[in-house]
Parts: sequence; C-alpha cells; structure tokens
Amino acid sequence: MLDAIEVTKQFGAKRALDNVSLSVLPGEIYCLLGANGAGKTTLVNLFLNFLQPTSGTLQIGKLDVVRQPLETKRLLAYIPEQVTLYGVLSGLENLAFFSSLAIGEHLPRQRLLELLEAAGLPRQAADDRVATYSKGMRQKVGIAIALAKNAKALLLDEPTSGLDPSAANEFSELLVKASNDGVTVLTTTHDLFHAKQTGTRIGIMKQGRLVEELRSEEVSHADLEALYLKHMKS
Amino acid sequence: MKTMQPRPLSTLSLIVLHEARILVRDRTLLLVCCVLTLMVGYGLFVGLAQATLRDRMVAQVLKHEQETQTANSGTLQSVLAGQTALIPFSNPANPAAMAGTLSGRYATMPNAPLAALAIGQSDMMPNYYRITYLSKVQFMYDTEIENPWNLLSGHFDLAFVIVFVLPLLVTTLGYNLLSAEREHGTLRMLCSQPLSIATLMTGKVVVRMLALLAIVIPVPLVVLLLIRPEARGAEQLVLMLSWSALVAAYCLFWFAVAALVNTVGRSSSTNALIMMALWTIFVLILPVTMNLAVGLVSPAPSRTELASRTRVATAESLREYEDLYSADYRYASDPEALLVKNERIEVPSRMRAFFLAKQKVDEQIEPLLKRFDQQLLQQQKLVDRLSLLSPAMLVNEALTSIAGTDSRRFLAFKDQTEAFHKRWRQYFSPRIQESRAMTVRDLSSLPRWHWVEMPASEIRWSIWWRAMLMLALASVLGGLALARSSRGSIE
Repeated sequence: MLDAIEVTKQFGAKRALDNVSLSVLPGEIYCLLGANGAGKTTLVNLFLNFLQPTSGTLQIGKLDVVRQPLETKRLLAYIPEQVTLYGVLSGLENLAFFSSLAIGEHLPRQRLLELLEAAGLPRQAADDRVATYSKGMRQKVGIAIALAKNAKALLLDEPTSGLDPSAANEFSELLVKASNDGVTVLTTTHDLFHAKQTGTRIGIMKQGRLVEELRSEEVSHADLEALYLKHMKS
Repeated sequence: MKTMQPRPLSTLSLIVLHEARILVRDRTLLLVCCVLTLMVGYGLFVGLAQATLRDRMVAQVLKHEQETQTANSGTLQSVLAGQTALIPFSNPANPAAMAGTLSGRYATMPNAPLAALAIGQSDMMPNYYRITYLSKVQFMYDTEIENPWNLLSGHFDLAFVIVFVLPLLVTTLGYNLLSAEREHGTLRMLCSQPLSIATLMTGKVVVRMLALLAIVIPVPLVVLLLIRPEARGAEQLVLMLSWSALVAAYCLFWFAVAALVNTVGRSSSTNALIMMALWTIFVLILPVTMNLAVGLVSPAPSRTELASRTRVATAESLREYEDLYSADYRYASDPEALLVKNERIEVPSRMRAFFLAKQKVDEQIEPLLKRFDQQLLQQQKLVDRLSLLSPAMLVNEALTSIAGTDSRRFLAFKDQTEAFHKRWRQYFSPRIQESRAMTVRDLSSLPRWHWVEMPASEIRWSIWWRAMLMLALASVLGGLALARSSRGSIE
C-alpha cells in the first residue's frame, strides 16, 4: 500500500534519505524508529508530497505520489506531531472544514460530533475555539479529521508525543482498530514501547538509511531496546 | 472503504467560504473594508466637489454670456434708434468693440458624465475661455505646460484611491496568503488533503478580491447614478463597465504579485517588505522616473521663448500699423462720428489697428505655437509608451480617460477653441475693415460655440487596450504564481 523505492532526498550537501526502500502492506502498522534527524519525518513528508525526492519513487496504492499528488492524498490521512488548526474556529468547525475538503461533502453536525467523540474529545469542547484547546485536544481533532476521511492509509508523525499516557493508549487502540479494518499505518516515533506494543513491523533509521527492519512479534521489549541502542551507538 | 472524489469547483468554493469565515472572524477583512469604504467615500466626495465646481463655473459663464448678449442687444437697439450715443469702446454697433471688449462669447467644455471618478488634469486645465479678437497667446497659453504626470499624486480623488491605496490594501490582505498558513502550521494540514496549493491560493485571492471589489466598484457607481443624472446613459454604462473591468484587472494584478511573492517561500515579514518595495517601485519610483525621462527626452517648450517671440511679433505689428495707431479719435471733436449712418459706423483707426495687430501676432507666432502643441503631443505619446512600464501609470491614464479629465480631452478642447477663435475673427474682420455697423440680426447670428465630444470609439479604445494589457499582465503573473505553486514544496 505504501511503497518507497530507492528513495534519496538531498538538502543541499546534506543527504536526508539515502536509498531507502520500504513497503507497508494493507493492515500493517509500520513504526519507524530513529534519533532526531534520522530521516523519519522526511520520509513521511515525501509520502505526503510536501517534498519531492531527489531520486527514487514513492507510491501509495500503486499511484505515484509525485505524479498524482491529489489522487494519492485521497487515499491517506495525516496526523502530525503538532496538529495545527484554525484558532478562530471551533473544533467542530475545523473538523467540518477539513472533512469537507477531504471527502468533498459536508457531514451533518451529529456525525461530526460522533467523530470527535470517537477521537476522544469531550462533546462540550466541540464548540469552543481551538485557540483555547490543549495540544492533546487538538491532536484529537486531528484524529477525528483522519477518521472522517476513512482513509486507506494513515501517516503519523510522532502522533503520541505530548499526549498523556491514557490518551496515548487510547490512540494506540484506535490505530490497532484501524489496522484491523485494513488500514495501512506508517508512524514515526521515539517511543520504543509504543512501537513494540502497537506496530506489526518496526524499522530503525539512522542518518537517512533504513538500517534494520523486523517484525514486532519477533522481538521482546528488551531486545528492541538493545538493538536500537546498538544502532544508535555504532 | 469508500473514497469520495471532490470536484475542483467544490474544493475552490470550500476554500472561498472557509477563507471568508476566517477573515471575518479575525476582523482583518472588516478593518480593511472599513478603511477602503472611507477612502472611496472621501475620494468620490473630492471628485464630486471638483465636478460640481466646474459645472457651476460653466453655468456661470453661460449665464454671463446670456446676460451680455441681452445687454448688448438692448443697447444696440437704443443706439440704432438714435437714443444713445456711446463711445466706440462700449458701442455694440461698433464691430471692433463687439469682437473685443463687448464680446460675451465663451468656449466651454462641459464635464464628462463620469468626471467625478478622476480629477486628472481638470484642476489645472481651464474648461472655458473667453473668446475675443485678442491673440490666442494671451488667453490660451498663459498657463504653464505641464507634463501630465506632474499631477499624478496631486489629489486624494477616487483615481488616487484606486491607483495608490488599493495596492496597499491588497498588500495588507495578500502579503501572507501562503506564508501565514506555513507559519501557523495549517499549510501541512491543508496540503495533506486532496487540495493543490494553486486551488488554495486561488480561493484565497478570490475571496479577498471580491471583498475589495464589492466596495471599490459598486459604491462609486451607485453614488454617481443616484446623484448625477448625466451618468445614466447607455454610453455611460459602457464606460462604467470599462471602469469596473479596469479596476478589477488592476486589483487582480496586485493579487497576482502577492501570490507570486508568496510562492517564493519567504516569511510573512519578508513578503510584506517585498510587496512594499514593489509598490514603491511601480507606483512611486517608476512614474517619477518616467516623468524625468519625458522631461529629458521631450522637454517642455520654453515659456521664455514664447514670451520673447510674442513681444517681438507685437512690436513688429505695432510698427506695421503705426499710421493707424497714431490716428486721433475723431469722435472727441466730431460727435457725429459716433452715429450709425446707412448701416455703417466709423471704426476708430486705433481699434482697427489693434484688431489687425493681434491677428498679425497670431499669424507670426503660429509656427511656434504649433511647435508647442507638437511638443505636448510628443510628450503625451511618450507618456503613453512609457506607461506600459508602470501599471499605476497605465491605469491612471485609463481612469482619467473614462472620467474625461485626461490631457487628450483638454487638447481637443484647446484645438476646438482655436478653431472657434479663428471663426470669430473671420466673422468680424470684413465688418471691421468695411466699417459695417452691427445690427440686431447680426447679434443673433454671431458665431456660436459648440463643444464636440471626442469620438466614443476613441475613448473606448484608449481604455480597453489598457484594461486588456493590465489583465494580460495580471494573467501572466498569476499563471506564473500558480505554476510555481504546483512545483514547489510546502516546506
């Protein structure tokens, strides 16, 4: 569903991604681990066509991301580390706008409220201005937008960063549920525990290269931590 | 899993509605619209005041003409009936007096129906001349010849609001079209949806442009239609449409500039600085530079030369008619000379000499005046050509054409006045030479002034090529911005 084929991304003299190939199958949750600057977010940005690759190909559902950006974006939903919304609008209005943009139709208020509730936002906060929301609340609106889109693939850039443990746990449950529904998930994270707990596959990136790929059921928490640290120190 | 296929139009309308809501919520639009409404209102008021003043001037002049004609007619009847004996200078039976001091004829140019839209040259160039047999140098060339652009920044009229202020308001609304979304982080959220930056930018421009145009176009036109009945014809409707198209094209040009600047990917503050720099170049520096260039390439004719040549011509004609000038006024010793006999009256030699001398001065000075006019025409042509370099100049020229306050209309008025002045002299010349007394019938058959408006097709052409050029410029810049936006990354 999500395919990166020999992708390289160069920023001037700096090579952010170096010949990375990666494939995420439908229903898989692929967790990308790596230190800051390892190239995780760059890879997500390339899938979103926020950046263009220096070389290589990115595909979503066999569609080329660069050549068919709008078509590929119809297939995916994105939740960044910081979900930034329009502060002068309420959570509900933000959801209404982004969901209309995503699916091309206006959802009724009741449906929007259900989505916000499913994402974990208290109903009484739905009509408050987003400027008054905490980071976690904004994250939940972001999740609601993704849910509204009913996307085939989810791209998540450190989505649980800044969420309290309970919210992070709820979020992981949502991911697993989506995965069970056949949704493909590619998520970047620093959280080894979260990766092991939620992911079906784990990739470790270092200095723009994918240095390790493993199935999460094949490693224990301790082994994953040891492997990660070994790569980081080498 | 079902995926809907959003249609481009609906995506655009979504962006437009969303942008409108955001702009209304954060009150930016309200503030800008209030400022624009106030400025449009004030600019229109200034234009209307100037147009009204000129209307009154023409009305007063025509009233004075009428009163003079009536007075002359009454006096003439009294003189012809032998009831009054007047000295030659105030005797309407004397053709030299009627052609000169007693003449009540004026050449007037009425305001164009849409004059209130731009003051243009109208506060500098006269809209009436008193016609006598005097040399035209005395009544037509006693003002400085100015480059049309000298007055570009002279008034706070509606044209000023459009040419100068509108781009600033476009800058206020457009400097951060994309950069604000990028800086707030919402651009990532937007671009993760099936939405192209080109559509996003188009939607943003559409809503902002509609908001500005909804004030700057209908407000002046509705006010004009309500308070100036002469603005209600079919031809005026065409001009109003041309004016609207021109303003819209100019507004679009500045939004296209803003969009292009936003695609460079700089911060909002840098974008604002770039926009201000472009405004300064296009609206201030280029017109001033053009003005200097016009002055340099085609300098204004020398006033000193004209004055000196006029003096020389006057001296020569004085010499030529020396004998006539030296003749005494006979009526002082012979009052019978004041009376009309057999439809003849004695025109004093000095008055005849004066008439002939002024005619001679004009004949002699004509080549120089032609050179003046040529020079002015050349300047205008140069301005026309150079105006292609500055959208502000281009639009200002078209706006004054629509308002009928452009230099072309004033030049046409001058030309027609010169022709009328010639007719006036030709009418009186045989009467003065042959000492034919004026009759009551003559008074009603005196040459009459008729202002002939410039051909509508000429005006329309001068407006439309500019509007089309402005639209083409805006389209090129807008196309460039859209092309860049579809190529660039959002990071």
